[in-house]
Amino acid sequence: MAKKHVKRKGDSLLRDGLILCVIAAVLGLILGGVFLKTKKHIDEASKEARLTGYNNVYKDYSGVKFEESGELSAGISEYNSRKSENMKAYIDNISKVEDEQGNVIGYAFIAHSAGYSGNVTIAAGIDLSGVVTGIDIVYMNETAGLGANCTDEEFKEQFKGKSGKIGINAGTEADDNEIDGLTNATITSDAVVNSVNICLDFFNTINSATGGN
Amino acid sequence: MNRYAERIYNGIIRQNPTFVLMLGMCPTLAVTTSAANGFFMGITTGAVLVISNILISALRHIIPGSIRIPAYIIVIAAAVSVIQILLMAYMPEVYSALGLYIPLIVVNCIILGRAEAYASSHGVVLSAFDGLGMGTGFTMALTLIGICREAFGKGTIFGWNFNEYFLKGRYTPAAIFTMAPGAFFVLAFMCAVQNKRKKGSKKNCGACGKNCKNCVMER
Repeated sequence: MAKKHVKRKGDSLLRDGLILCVIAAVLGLILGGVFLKTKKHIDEASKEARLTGYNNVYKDYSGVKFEESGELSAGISEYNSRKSENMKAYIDNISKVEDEQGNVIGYAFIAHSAGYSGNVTIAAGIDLSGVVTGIDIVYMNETAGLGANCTDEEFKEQFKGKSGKIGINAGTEADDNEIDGLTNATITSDAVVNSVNICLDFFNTINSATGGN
Repeated sequence: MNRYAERIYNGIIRQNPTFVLMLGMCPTLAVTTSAANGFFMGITTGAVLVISNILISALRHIIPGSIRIPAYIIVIAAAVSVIQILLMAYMPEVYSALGLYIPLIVVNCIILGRAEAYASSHGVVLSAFDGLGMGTGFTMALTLIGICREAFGKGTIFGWNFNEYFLKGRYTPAAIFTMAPGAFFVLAFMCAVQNKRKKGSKKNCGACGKNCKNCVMER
């Protein structure tokens, strides 16, 4: 094996520290450069993921547009901070949904909640009467074969048409506002339901503030 | 075999990081819930290995021996961050599938191990090939474990449902394979197979490939 790490004369703490600093500084600069170069792509990718989710929850409607509004976004941060205690889910984004004529027909949400491994991020659509138009899983890293089944259409379809507060069916007969949880994946089911519920709750606050339908 | 090809062979077979060196067990056990996850984790780690091996080999005369470990960690962390940013920008699906485990590559012992054991004392090109070989070996191992776990635990391979096509759904997936215990089962089984293959016969213990009769090694 080649000779390595020869201790040279003049090795000192100061010199070692200086070399370490220089290496760290150079690598830091390179890292910053890479980040600046790719920032645009990262933003685009996250926006694209969001829009894909929004389109999936409004797939029964054609030609809809999603408009972000500053007022609503401010409402979310206020809502999240007001409810920060005992809150199981958080809203990340909200957009107004407009049809081809430019009329607002509902809202689209991105929300997340803690799942079994990491956050489960969902997209949810709620129309003006407070009924869920559909949900989609934007990001999850749950166990394959168990929690990962939350991406199945069968599971997601259950949320369509629900309103108020959704619960998970514990008995044999499901109530109107109950869905069947995923087998052996209670935490994942809870995470999705909590996220949808927080969107419904936020919808109710803005709806009552504007005086109903 | 020239010495570059030897490095590749060394990484894939002779010193396979997962089955022989038993390094990097954390991502091996945690990420391989599906074949695709294992494959992409392997590729990502491999890319970091090549970059860090090249950088560390190039800087090996500059880095003083007394601070080499912190210096290596900085280089590895920078390489991981670059890969992470690139994944976020150009392959968001892969990034969201691996998520938390990408930053954890920094402390993957394969990378620090190769830096200390190989890159710090060999030339740039050889070190790059060493990283490539180790990365390929790691990718193959993770993909193999991922395929087994996904097949037994979910009835699919790379998302393709062979259970439905060939077995008409007669195989009931054993979900335990996609969970933590399944990772240990599969890994243990594969290590056993690998050991059996290497062990050879009574006359040949497999350690050197020569006859054990004249062996001078202490056992």
